Amino acid sequence: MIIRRLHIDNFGIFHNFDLELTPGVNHLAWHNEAGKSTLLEFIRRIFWGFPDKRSKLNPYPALKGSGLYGGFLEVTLKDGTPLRLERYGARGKLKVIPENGDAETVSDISCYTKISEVFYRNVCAVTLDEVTAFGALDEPEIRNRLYGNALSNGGISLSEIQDTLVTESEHIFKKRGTLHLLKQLSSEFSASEKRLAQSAQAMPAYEKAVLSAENFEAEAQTLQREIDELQNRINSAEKALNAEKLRRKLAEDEAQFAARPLPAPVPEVLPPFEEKAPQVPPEPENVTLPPPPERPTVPALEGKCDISRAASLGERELETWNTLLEKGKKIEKNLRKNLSLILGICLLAGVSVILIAVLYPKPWLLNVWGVLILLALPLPLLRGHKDLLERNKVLKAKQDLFFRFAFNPVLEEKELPVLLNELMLFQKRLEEYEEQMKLFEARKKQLDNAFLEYKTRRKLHDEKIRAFEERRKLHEKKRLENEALCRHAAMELARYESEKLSLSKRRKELEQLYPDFPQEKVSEEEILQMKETLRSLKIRREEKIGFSGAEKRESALLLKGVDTAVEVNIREQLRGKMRSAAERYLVLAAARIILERSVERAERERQPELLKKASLYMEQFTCGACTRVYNSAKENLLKVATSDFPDGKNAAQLSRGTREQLFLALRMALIDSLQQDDETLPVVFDDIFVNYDTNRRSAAWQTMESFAADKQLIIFECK
Amino acid sequence: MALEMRQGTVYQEKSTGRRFILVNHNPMALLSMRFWSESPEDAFNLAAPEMISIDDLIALRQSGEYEELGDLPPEVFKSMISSLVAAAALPEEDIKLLKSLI
Repeated sequence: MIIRRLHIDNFGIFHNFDLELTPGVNHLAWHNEAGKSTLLEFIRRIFWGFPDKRSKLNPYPALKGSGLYGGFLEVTLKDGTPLRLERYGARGKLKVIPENGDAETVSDISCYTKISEVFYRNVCAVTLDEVTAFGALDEPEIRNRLYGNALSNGGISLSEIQDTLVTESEHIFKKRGTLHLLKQLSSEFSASEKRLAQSAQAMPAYEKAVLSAENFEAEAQTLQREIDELQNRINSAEKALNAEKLRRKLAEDEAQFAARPLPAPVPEVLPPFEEKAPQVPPEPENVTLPPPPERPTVPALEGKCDISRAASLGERELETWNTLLEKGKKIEKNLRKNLSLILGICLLAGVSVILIAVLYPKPWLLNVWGVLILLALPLPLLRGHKDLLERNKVLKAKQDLFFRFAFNPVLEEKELPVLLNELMLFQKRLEEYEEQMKLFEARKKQLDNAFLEYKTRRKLHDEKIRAFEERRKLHEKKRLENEALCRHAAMELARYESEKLSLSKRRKELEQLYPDFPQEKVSEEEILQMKETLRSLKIRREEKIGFSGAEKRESALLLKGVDTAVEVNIREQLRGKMRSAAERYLVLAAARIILERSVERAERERQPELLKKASLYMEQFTCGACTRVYNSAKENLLKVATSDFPDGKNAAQLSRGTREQLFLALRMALIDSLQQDDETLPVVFDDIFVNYDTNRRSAAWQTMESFAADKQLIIFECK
Repeated sequence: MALEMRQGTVYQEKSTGRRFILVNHNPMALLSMRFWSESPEDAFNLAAPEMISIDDLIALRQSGEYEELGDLPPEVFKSMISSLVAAAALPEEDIKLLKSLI
C-alpha cells in the first residue's frame, strides 16, 4: 500500500493539513515541534483507530482549529486500486471509499492486510525511543518471528538445561565432594558391613539364646492351647448351666401358666332393645257438647191479675204471710229489749264514772281506763242491735214483695184469655224445652260414656308404657353389664394370649440361643475348680512368655540390636541404590557432553533466515564491523558477533548507536519476512539516525534506499 | 414382598415389663391404636385407647426398648375388637374403622 496524499483536521498542531507522498523513500526533514511524531501517530490511528477518552494514550488535542478531529489517506493498493481511508472521531469507523464505488465502513485496516496492529506499531512505524526499547520486540507475535526457527525452546534456555544436568549429576557424584549421594550411600554400606561382621562374632551365644526363647515360646503356646481348651470347656459348662437355669425357669413359668384357669370366653354381645313402644290410643272424635236449651221464661203477670185472684190464693201463701208477720213482731220485740238494755248499761256506766271520779280522783289515768272499759261494755249489744235492724229491713222487703205479688194483682177479666193463651204457649214451650233437654241429656250421657271409655283406654296405655319403660331400663342395665363382662373377658383373654406369646417367644429364643443343648452336666463347683486351674495356667503361660522375652532381649544385646537378616537386606538395598545412582550419573554426564556439543554446532550452523537477513542489514549499517547476529542457544540471548568479539556481545554490551542499528536491522528483517503477496503498509521511521556517526548514517541511507525498493518508506528527520 | 398388615401385635417394654396391644385401625391416616397393661399380671385397659402415629411407631420399633412378642390369635383379636366396639367409648369414625376389622 502506498500513501499518495494525506489530509489532517484538528489533530495536534495540524488543521486542514495536506501532504503529498510518493512510493519509495520519502525523506521529511522538519523542524522540532513541526509535527513529525504527530504525523506518525496520525498514520497509525487512521489505520487502527483513535483511542477513546478512557485511554491513557496521548489524545493529541487540536491546537489550532476546532471541531471533529480526524482525516483521510489517499492510498493505492498493491494491485493499483485507489482508495480513500477516512476516519473521524474516537469512535469513528474507518470509511473505505473506492474511486468508483460505494463506501464501506470497517473497524480497521486488518481486512486489507495480514499485518496486525501490534506488529505495525512495534515494527513498521516506530520512533527513536521505540527502536531502542527491546520490549517492543518482545511481543509474542514478533518473538515468534524472531526466534521461531531458532534453537531456543520458547522461554527455556539450553544453558538452564545444562545447569540442571550439572546440578543433578553433582548431586550424585562430585569430585572431592563430601555431600554427594554416592558418598553417603558408601558410608551407610560400610556401616552395614561392620554391623554384620560384629553380629557374626556373637552368633553362637545368640543362637543359644534364640533357641531358648523359642523353647519358652513353644511352651507358652502349648499352655495357651490348654488355656483355650479349658476356657472352651468352662464356656460350654457355663452355657449349659445358664441354659439349664433358663429352661427350668421357663418350665416353672409354663407350669404356672398351665395351672391357671383358662379365661372365660367372651360372651355374646346383647342386641340393643328393639321392642317398640305401645301406641297411644286415639282420642274420641266429635266430643264437643252442644249448648243446653234455654228454659222458656214465665210470662209477666204484674198488672195483668185481678184482686179477685187473691181470693183464690191458697192457704200456703197465707201461712207464709203470717209467718212473715210473726217474724217481724219477734224482731221488733227483740229490738226494744236490746235498746233498753243498752240504755241501762250506759246509765250505769255514767253513774260509775262520776262516782269513781269523785271518790278516786287519783290516779286519774287508771280512772280514765276504768271509764273506757265501762263505756265499751254495751258495744256487743250495739252490734247485735245492728244485726236485728238489718234482719228487720230484709223482712220488711220480703213482706212488701210478697204483698205486692200475692195480694195486689191488677189483671182484668178480658185479659184472662190472653193470659191463658200465654200460659198455654208457655206450657208448649216448656214441653219442647223438656224434649230438647232430654236430647241434650242423652247426648251428654253419650259423650260422658265416650270420654269415660277414652279415659279407661288411656289409663291402660299409661300402664303399658310404664311396663315398657321398665323392660327397656332392665334391658339397658343388662346390656351394660354384658358390655362390662365382654370387655373384661376380652381383656383377660388378651392378657392370657399375650402371656402365652411371651412364653412361646422365650422358648423360641432359648432354642435359638442353645440349639445344641450341652449334654454334659457340670456343677457350679466344678466350674469354679476349672476356673482356678485356668488361672494357674495363665500365670504359667505369662511366666513362659516373660522368659522368652528375657531370652530375646539377651540375644538382641548379644547382636547389639542387629538383626542379621534385616541388616543383610539393608546392605543389599544400599548396594542397589549405589548401582542405580552410578548409572544415572553416567547418563547425566553423557547427556551433558552431548548437549554442549550440539549447542556449539547449532549456534554455528542452524540460525534462522530472519537473523541472517538482520545480519546482512547490520553488516551494512556498521560498514562491516558487525559480522553476524545470532541467537545464543546457551544463554537464550540475541548476540552480535563483531570482528573484535567473534563470540559476540549481547545487546546490553553494545553502544547505544550500535544497539539502535541492531534493533532497526531486526525490524527491517522482520518487515522483509512478510509474505511478498500480502498487502504491505507504509513503513514510517521517526528520527532514527540521531545517534549514528557520519559513516554509518550514509551507509544507513544507502541501506534504506535498497530496503524501500518495493515499498513506501517515510523517514522523518530533524532539520 | 407384599405389605403385610399385622393386627393385634403385642409389645413388651423391656425395662418395665409393661405390654401393649397394637391395632392398626386407620392405615389411610397412618394412625394406630394401642392398649396398655401396666404389668404382665394386669389386663389390657381397653377403656383407655391411645392413638399412635406411624412415625412414633417406627421410632418405637427402632428404639430397641420394646420387644415384639407376636400377634394375638385372630379370634381373640376379633372378640377384643367386638367388645371395644360395643363399649362405644370412641369417636364414631374410629368405631366404623374398628368394625371393618371384625
